[in-house]
Amino acid sequence: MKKSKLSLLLVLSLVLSMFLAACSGGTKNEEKSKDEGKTKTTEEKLAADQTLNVLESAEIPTMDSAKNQDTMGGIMLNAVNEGLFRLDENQKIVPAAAESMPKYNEDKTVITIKLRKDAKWSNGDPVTAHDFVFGWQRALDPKTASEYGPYFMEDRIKNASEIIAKGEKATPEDIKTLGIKALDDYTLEIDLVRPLPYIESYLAFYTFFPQNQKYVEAQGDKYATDAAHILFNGPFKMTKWDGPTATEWALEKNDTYWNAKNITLKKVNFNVSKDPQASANAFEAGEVDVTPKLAQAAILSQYQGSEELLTYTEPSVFWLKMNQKNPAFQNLNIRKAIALTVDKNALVKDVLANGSIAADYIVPKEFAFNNGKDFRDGAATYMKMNKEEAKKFWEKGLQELGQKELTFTYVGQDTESSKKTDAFVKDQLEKTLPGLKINIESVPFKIRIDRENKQDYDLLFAGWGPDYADPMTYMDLFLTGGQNNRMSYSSAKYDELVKAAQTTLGAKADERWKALHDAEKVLLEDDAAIVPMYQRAANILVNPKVKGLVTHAMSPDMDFQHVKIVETNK
Amino acid sequence: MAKYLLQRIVYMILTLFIVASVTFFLMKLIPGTPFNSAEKLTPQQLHIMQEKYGLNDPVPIQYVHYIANLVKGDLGVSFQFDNTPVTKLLQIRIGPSAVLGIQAMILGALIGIVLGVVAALKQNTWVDYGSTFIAVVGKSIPSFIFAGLLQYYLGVKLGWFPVMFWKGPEYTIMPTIALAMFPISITARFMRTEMVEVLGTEYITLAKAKGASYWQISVKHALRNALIPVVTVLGPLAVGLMTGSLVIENIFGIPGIGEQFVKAIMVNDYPVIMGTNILFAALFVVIILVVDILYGIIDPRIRISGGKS
Repeated sequence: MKKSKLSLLLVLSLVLSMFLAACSGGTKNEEKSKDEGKTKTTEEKLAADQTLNVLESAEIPTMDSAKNQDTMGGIMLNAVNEGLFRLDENQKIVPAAAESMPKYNEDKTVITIKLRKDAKWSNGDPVTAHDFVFGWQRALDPKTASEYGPYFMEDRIKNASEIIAKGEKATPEDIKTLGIKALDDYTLEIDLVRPLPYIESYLAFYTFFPQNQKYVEAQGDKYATDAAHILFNGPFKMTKWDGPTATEWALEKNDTYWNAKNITLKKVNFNVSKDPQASANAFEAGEVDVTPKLAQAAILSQYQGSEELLTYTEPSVFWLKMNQKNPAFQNLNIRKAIALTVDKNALVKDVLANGSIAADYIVPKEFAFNNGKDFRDGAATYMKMNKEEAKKFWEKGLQELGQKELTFTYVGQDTESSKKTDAFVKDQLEKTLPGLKINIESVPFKIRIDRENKQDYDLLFAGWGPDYADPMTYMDLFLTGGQNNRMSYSSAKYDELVKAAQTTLGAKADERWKALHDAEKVLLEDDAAIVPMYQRAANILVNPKVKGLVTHAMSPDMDFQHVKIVETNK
Repeated sequence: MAKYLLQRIVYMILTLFIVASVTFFLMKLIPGTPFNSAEKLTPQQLHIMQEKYGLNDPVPIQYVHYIANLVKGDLGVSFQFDNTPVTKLLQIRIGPSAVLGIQAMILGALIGIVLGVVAALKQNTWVDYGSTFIAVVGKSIPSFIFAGLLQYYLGVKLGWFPVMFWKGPEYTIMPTIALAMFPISITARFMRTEMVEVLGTEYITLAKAKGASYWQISVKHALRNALIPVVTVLGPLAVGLMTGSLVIENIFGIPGIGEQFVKAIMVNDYPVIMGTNILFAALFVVIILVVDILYGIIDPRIRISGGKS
């Protein structure tokens, strides 16, 4: 009797659980096939409510284009303001406040740009060439204490270096010598130190946005500290933002924008969520239409194959640096052994599992183009994993050094995904290369930077995101004595190739491209100076009713101006 | 009493001064700069930035400047939030954390006291074991799991409460429950132990012998005496709750101070680290004073008398 009761219970619970399992699996599939059917048969119809609800992962540190250096700030500045050019939905640079593409002089050091006459600030003033001159000067002025102004202009825009050298002593007259002039109200002339093949990408970047002198000076310290103290000249205006600590803000369509007739979206609401699982929960509950980037494999696996998951490759590349201050890394064979050991495919598939791609290169894919051709198209990849070769190099290297064992300090970051990556790399290296011992030190970002600057490491896991759409933003990092080298790498050949690309080849696109390809080979294969690991992918969840959400490889990471909300059957 | 209070306040100011000084020098030991583009700037560009914020001065001079400004009530400006004054930042961020902390504290203390008292009165019955179980579960489940489960089931699946954000009273319910789990367990365990002990004392036996009713004994005699150690624990716990929880604030998207403090340390936002630490220390010493005064109210045997004792 007792036995039969128990077995009945068991059977019942089994049936129930099967039923439940079938239920949850089945409804989702059904819903999906219904969706697909609908989108095929019905035309996309605009929804009555053109409001987009977006979750972001951080606050906006500042809305002052001269001072901003933040991703979130970049997205918002691009939404409410506008520079000479913009990135369109196909990642092409197109005229924005400029009327047409720039004209260059013969050696490509002087640029003339005509501005469109129908662009207006939200206070009614026209956007003129003087606004650009003021914006640039303000970004460079040491009194503004902008980090990006000097970083982007030094050694590139005429007289910028001289002004920076004067520091706080720079007078207004000094600052007026910066190489940007208003020839008339609607014509700009920009003087460069040397030809910059990527200047158009600069001119779409927020540091080079215009600022209305009269307005900025009238606001004083209050300028750009909240929504009430900003002028807009872009597709949207900021209607709610209580300042840098605000965790919610809102944009509304700017009706005085010159291209307002092509903006469908009426309103964008933003909220901040710093927890990825919570962001996914808010998305599931329908409270938001777009989530921040989600990198956790556990969350992403739930959305594999879903039309809600948007995965795109970012231009950020991550690599392992080998500090040549350590004599062991002055040995080429040791460096080659390290470079050939790590199974990058396993790293991206099993450890990161977020769509990132294994990289045998340092200039990323889908990032820099020459006449529409990706820098990576036709470019070689270097030092593909080969553990047998690695062992041979390692033994040879140890012999040359007269050592049997080597111990390295490996500096990595203290985030969850960094720790996993570091443990994987350590495991790969120690298991393949006999006599190698690695001690991982996981530290916060700022301390990682500090250790790197002081060259206080043997191995260091680092990454780099681009500042402008050109391979040079990666290739000049490793010049001898270059401020981002920070691993005592020095190669005359590499320097020669990169410097040629910076100077003499500045105006010859194809030859310059070739020099940069060659330089990459020297860095990664001939010298095995660093070990590229992967190019990162970003994953966000987007409600299928949102169409035309554009993501870019670099700032602004996201553009809302093409967004339309369509009706769905949900 | 007035003399005692005055003396305590002098000690409090001294404590805060020491906290401020220690924090300042410890903070200066953190490597790195507060500038976000430190890896990109040339030494010269970095020098200009540091000059601007007085970071090139010798540390003792920076210290004197800091303390001088502190006395004037000026906590400086934040690096990460584009020169927002730290006092403004703290004002904005402490609000939500304090609301949540106080709600969680009240909820936690009430439930905890009830659980503890009932467990002690029904010692070694299923009621007692049930209360112990709740306390152990509440203490051992990490808050990010409990909060995550709440959010998923009550928010996403059942839709009873908003999943996240901070827009009205209904938004505080789930984070309050999540945050209250810890005080519930602590209070329940303390309360039970104290009650059991008090119930075994001679004066309770005396009260019983005198024919006092069950409720009179439990509430008037036992509970009141058992509360003293609990109040001692609850004071600092309250400060801990009010100063925010990184985990709860992140999960429920609450613009609180806990998340802010941790981030400030990560990015070397010196003025915010200092300001927050001083604020926390101030809250702490004030609460300890309040607890000491409460002792006297709960138990007249503890006299506050001119600091002679």
